[in-house]
Amino acid sequence: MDVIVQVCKLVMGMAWNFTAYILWRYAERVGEEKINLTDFLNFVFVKLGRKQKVFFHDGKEDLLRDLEYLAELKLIGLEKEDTDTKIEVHDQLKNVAESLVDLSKRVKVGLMEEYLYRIDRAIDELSSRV
Amino acid sequence: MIRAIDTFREIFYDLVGQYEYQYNRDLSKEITYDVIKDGSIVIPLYGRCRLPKHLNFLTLLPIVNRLREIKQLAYTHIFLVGATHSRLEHSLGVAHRVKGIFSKIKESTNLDLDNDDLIITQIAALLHDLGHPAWGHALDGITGYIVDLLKDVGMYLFHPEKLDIAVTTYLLLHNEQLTNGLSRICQKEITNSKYTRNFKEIIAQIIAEEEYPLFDNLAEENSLIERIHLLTTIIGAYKGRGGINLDRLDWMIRDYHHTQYHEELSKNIKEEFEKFMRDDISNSFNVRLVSKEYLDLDDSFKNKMENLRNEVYQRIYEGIERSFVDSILTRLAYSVISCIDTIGESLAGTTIRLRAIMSYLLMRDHEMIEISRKILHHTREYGHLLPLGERRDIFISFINKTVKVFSLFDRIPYLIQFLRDMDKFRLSLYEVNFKYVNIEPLNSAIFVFPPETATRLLQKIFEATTSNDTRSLADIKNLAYFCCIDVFKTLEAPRLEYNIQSEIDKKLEEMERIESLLLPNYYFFKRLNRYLKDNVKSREELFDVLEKKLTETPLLFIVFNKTIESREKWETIARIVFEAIFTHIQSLYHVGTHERSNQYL
Repeated sequence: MDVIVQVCKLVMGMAWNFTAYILWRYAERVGEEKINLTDFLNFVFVKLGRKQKVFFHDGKEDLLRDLEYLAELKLIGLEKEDTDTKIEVHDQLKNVAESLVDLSKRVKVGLMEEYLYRIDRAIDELSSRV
Repeated sequence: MIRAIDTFREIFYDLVGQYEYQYNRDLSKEITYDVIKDGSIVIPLYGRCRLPKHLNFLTLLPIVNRLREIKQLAYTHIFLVGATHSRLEHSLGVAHRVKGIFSKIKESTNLDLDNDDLIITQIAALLHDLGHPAWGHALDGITGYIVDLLKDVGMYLFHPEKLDIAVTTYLLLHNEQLTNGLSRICQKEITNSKYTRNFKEIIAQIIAEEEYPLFDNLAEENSLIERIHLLTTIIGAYKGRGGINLDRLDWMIRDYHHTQYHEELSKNIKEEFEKFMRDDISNSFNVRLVSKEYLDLDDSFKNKMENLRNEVYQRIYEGIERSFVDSILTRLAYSVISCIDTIGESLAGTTIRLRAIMSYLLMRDHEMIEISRKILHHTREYGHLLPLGERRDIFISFINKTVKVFSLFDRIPYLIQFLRDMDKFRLSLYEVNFKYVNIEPLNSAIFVFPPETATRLLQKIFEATTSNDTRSLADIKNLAYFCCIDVFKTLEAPRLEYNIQSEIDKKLEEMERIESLLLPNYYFFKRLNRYLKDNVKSREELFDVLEKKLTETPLLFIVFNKTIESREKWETIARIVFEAIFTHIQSLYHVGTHERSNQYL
């Protein structure tokens, strides 16, 4: 294995549970079968990050690794095109997203509730078609 | 009750006042930038180093100077006696390295880094650990609780491993002493108007190690954000992209140097580590420019560093001694913050309460011990009078036991001698192992819930569910994630301790009560979270990884106030603890299609 890839693997994949939740909620709201990666990046780092002050990823590469992992778990499909990548969200992603919500209902950890609240607020502020 | 509140009020407002007076007061008239000169200091490993005026000035501000009395490795010096170096030493080390690395970058990449870039990077390097509370990483397991309390003051929220950065960002943007000090430096030293307009935001952005702009004003200038990426990857790294990471280059060798850990390593690895140290100090590695705006180390050096890091990391940072010491500190801090928050509700509004908590967090190591002692003793004395409603019994029982942690705290060096030589026994009912040790001179005992037993417990819970692989992985990931944010709340530690105690009282029927003190170990969940990543794609793969790698770091410790001689009693205790934790974790997953099963218990 490439050395650089090996090193990167040691520090990544910290927030794939949140990535799954954000992507599921985003896909529901946008209502399209396939999502543009660029639009999703804009949502994660601008609408959620800068506006709601929540950052789960260090940057684009960090988020991409999470998406690749979700694709390996067959929860999403990634189609690389010339100018952008399309994300196809499969139904099973909902199951993973719900795991986070279910646990936060059972364990009253304020910060987790705050994370979810801010994600939902960022989603609510989106128009249905991005 | 009036007396209880009155006495607590005094402690509470002392805390509030301390933050305001020591750390939030503008000192620009007392510590005048113009009279400060370049300085010179000796930094271990690097020798005599020039301290430029702007850094010299910042180290004189109490909000920065407090790092002098915060140990980099908390109480690790109890078992690695040399580990007494401070966060200021490390921060100065990183700041000192910036100038040398700038020369190297210029030689290797032809980038036109100027004096403004140098000053900004040096300042970010000096301030990168500013938000660390006392006791090093011992408070990591409750950082989520802390940040949640502080969110109302406009805190940024990051993922669990970066929550201390939330406090640093807050201080950079809102602490008057610091913001005034930074403005002074900016006025006198910085020439580029793009930098002067956004000085503190640029420093916050670099320290946060976030690639996308945190602030609207930085988002407007593409060239500025590209420059920030360059400077960030000098001090730190972006996940998935890498970076030179002077922060890590310094702590790797500094922690090693102070702990003298090489005495524990094999001859070959020791030699390898010593060569690495020489290369690290003399910048004998290559740096490269990636995509015009990120810097990185060459692969071979980076790989060497990662391998050596793995050799030392587990023992120094997450081994059984460190886990035990930090679990005690975490419990102390969690209890104190709960008291300030809970009792503070009847004394002041949110803003003032937050200042009291911020003040507690920013204390120096020894101050934090003293104030913790004072608050907890006071709560024990008057807690029964406080208006806490239904939660009172559990809260008071938990605090009362935490007070007893102090007697442990004073004896930690003695206690940890026993941790490496414990008896092991098998609870055949559940086919799992536990460890214990009686400490006869202190008439107490320590019980350890080992990582392999915790893995087995998780395995059994998830085998008994009907959910599919990915849902199980997500469930375990979320459990680990929640515990990384707040291990006490996720495990409902006060209630769990209360339930375990009740069961022990019932089952052992001793004339003299055996009192149990629960110490959950955050590092177990941190490691569990770390292994739940891309190379694990099924529940089986996960348990396979955990069985091989999750060693040395227990799920929790329980300290008893008596020695327990008979094996039968230990087995009863082990069964009570195992079943209590099994039931608690299983109850978290009794939802939807995810059926609960009692097949195992």
